Amino acid sequence: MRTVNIPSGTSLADLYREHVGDYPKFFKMDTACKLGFLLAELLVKEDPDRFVPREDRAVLVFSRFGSLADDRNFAASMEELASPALFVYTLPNTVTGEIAIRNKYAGETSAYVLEAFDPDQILNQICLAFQDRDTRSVLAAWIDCPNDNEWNAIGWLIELEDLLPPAGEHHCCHHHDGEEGGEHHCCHHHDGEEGGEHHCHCKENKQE
Amino acid sequence: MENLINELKLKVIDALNLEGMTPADIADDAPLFGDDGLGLDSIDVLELIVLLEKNYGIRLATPAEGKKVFQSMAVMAEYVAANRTK
Repeated sequence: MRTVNIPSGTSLADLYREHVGDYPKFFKMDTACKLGFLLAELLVKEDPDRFVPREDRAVLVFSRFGSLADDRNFAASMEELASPALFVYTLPNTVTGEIAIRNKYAGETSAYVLEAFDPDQILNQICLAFQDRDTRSVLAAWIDCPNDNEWNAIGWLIELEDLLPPAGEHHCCHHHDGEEGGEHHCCHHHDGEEGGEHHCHCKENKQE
Repeated sequence: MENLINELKLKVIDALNLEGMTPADIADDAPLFGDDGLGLDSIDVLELIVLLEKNYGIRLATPAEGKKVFQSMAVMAEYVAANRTK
């Protein structure tokens, strides 16, 4: 698993110029999309098959504020003439869209607005994304951006193999038999004892 | 007219966030849309319509009308000069 973060106050334009530089549409994006775009760039720029279209990587974005910063900017523009360029970013899932368009991802994209940063809930959604059998990689991000000047932005690139236990160990609580000769992966979320929770993730290559 | 063209270029660069571009980078007669031009898109057309209304009091009835007006900076400047109300 790879992790990157963009500290609040970082010059996003400078970060773009340093690591990207060939995608002028970046400057039309709202701050949340810029953050998601840059997190994705930093996570996948070393991918050997960069820009080869793929359907097996999901993009999940979590936040508390969704597109609130751009919503406010758009509302302010309505006092004179509403800005179409601001309007198009007044949805939380524009972040996943920009990442998918840039990288030619045609797998699942989802945007979630949570009450607070909740690692269990985020992990659970990541696990659920892996259950569709096509998904073998998840690019996930927590992009909390109440306004254009402050944010909390962290991204993770998780491959299916990252969720497997080390060879010889098996931590799965439940597992399913996949189709004969095929492989399956499962990721279950259980209530533990005394109100606690635990997670379990596994994939089995059904060879026996 | 040259001054108006330059003024429009500056406003377009600002309104469309054309990072790193200067008026000198935009030829007066270069198409604004399509691969040969600035590569503007449909949202940019709407933003240009807003720009004309906000700065020059010109209201275009439809985006299709904008397609004629926004052929190039020179065409846009001619239209603004002939139709501006402020």
